[in-house]
Amino acid sequence: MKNLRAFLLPLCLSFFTLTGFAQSAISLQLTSRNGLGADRLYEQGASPLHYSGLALQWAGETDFQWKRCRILQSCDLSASMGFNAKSDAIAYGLTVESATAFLYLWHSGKDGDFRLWGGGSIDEYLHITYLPDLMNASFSMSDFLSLCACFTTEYDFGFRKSDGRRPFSVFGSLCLPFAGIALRPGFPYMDNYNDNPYQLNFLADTYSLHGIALSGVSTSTGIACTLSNRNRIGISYDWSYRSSGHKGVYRFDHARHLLALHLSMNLLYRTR
Amino acid sequence: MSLKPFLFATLAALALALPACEDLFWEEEMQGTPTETFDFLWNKVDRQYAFFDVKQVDWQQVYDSLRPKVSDDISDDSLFHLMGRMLNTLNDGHANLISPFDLSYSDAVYRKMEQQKNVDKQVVNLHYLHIADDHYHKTGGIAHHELRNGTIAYWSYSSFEGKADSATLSYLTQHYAQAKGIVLDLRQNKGGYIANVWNLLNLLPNDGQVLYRTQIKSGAGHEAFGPLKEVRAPKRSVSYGNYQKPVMVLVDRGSYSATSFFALCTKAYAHVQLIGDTTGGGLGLPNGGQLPNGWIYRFSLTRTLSPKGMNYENGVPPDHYLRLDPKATAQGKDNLIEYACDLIENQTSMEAASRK
Repeated sequence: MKNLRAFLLPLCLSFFTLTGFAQSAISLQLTSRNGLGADRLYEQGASPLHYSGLALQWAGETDFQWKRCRILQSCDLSASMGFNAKSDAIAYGLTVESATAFLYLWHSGKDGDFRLWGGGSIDEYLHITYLPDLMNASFSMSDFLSLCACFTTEYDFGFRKSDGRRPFSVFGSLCLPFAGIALRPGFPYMDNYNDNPYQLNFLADTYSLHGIALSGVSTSTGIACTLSNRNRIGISYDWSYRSSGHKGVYRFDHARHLLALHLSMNLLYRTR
Repeated sequence: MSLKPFLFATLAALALALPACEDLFWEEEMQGTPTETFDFLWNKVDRQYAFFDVKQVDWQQVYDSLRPKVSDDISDDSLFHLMGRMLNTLNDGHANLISPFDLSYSDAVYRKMEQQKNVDKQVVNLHYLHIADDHYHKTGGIAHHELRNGTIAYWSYSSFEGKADSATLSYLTQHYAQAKGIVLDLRQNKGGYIANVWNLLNLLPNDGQVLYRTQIKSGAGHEAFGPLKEVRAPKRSVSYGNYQKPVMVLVDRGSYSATSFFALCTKAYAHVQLIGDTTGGGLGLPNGGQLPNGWIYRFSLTRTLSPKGMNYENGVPPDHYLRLDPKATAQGKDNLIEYACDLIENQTSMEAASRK
């Protein structure tokens, strides 16, 4: 009996909470984003050359809207493999990026077809470079924690449906990490010394933190179609660029151009 | 005029135009001309190499003598030869230049390794490891056999690239549990994976003793180093650990890099002794990178000091200096192995006597 109550209580609470949200003009979307494209990397501590190649991205995003406020939470994993014409060396990259954005609906047309959102986000960006051909310089890590200014615009078009909505929309976004901190190695480091805890400490000591302004930019432009069940399918061209700049550390630059497929599931419908 | 088309157009234009301007954000890639490549490597070594004091090299003079020979129309072969010569002035086995067609190495270091070899592999293989008698045993990367009627274990570890993991060492310690001690032959072991150094050190008892101290090159000046870090014996509980019986480690000039590193660490253990010749050295951590023309380089950018502050980059001295006796080898004997066995037996009998 106790087990049954323990099961039913959270279930009922969840139901009432969700229906309560639905009544108060809330929507919640879950989006998966999968991209394929080009990647470019410069890891100055290991090589003065730029590595260009392929990138693959897997990302998940929740989009929570309430009245004129919107909270976006995203997590992005991408892998890359880069080449350079001057050597046979291959640069492998792994990027993990997570961001929480708080946006406000600044402008909305009378009919709600055009929307401009603006706000800020906290962004955590971790990149690991692996250059196995460069003995003992094979591994390095870059980490950026940034405060970003974000702008997103959406414009709905196409014939109006019975519920008054248009099925197609174009969108664009711009995100600028205007201030933050970056963690970079004193020099890119290596593989087999890290078997010992003392060596690990030794490696960690070569990393240093520094403040950084305007460490990059990311943009996205795309088109989406809202289905009758209010799920969405879309495609976008995403570009992102990160740089440590010259801050007494080896410079790190990383850019990605991705063509991404978006699949959004509408978990809660926002009443208008 | 409505604001919305303007706002939308501005943002959409930015989102599309910024990627097209990406090259403005990037540093221009180096061309990789011979002069650029030569200067790049010289500067890297000048800023980061850790042993200018030990090697007594006037690096500016090296530049002044070699740089005039480099021009942008020089062939790849000639450039490689000149840059290889530049690195070889460091007399460091960890300083290498690697191109798709060649590898440069310090001929002086390798000459010393070969000319001052302190082992006859044929004698060891035939008479101590019994390679031709159907009694040859090799576990992981360690060839082994019993000596003196099974009272002493002989382990020959020819490269730290060979496996010496916990399974290997557990088996060997159990297999030779009755032996009075171990003769660990590291002659002509030119190094390999440092992880295996720690595996071997785990064999020995640890009281958190200081094994060595290390510093990384941190600034532009030749004597600009980061803080000195003490490295202590690893505190790990392994099944094969805490070996208290005598261990005699045989070394020679061919014992380089990770092997020298292990030799230095053994100085922290009273029951472990180094026998043979001074090791080859190579105690710096080699770190590599790429040059503007795509070639790869490496050189040492840390220095390792003994707990007392001695810099053994040119070789760790043995506790018992002993050269190979050609007369003994002619009779199929290795006088270093025999000496090590005698030491183990003497120490064991002395310990037995003191216990009585």
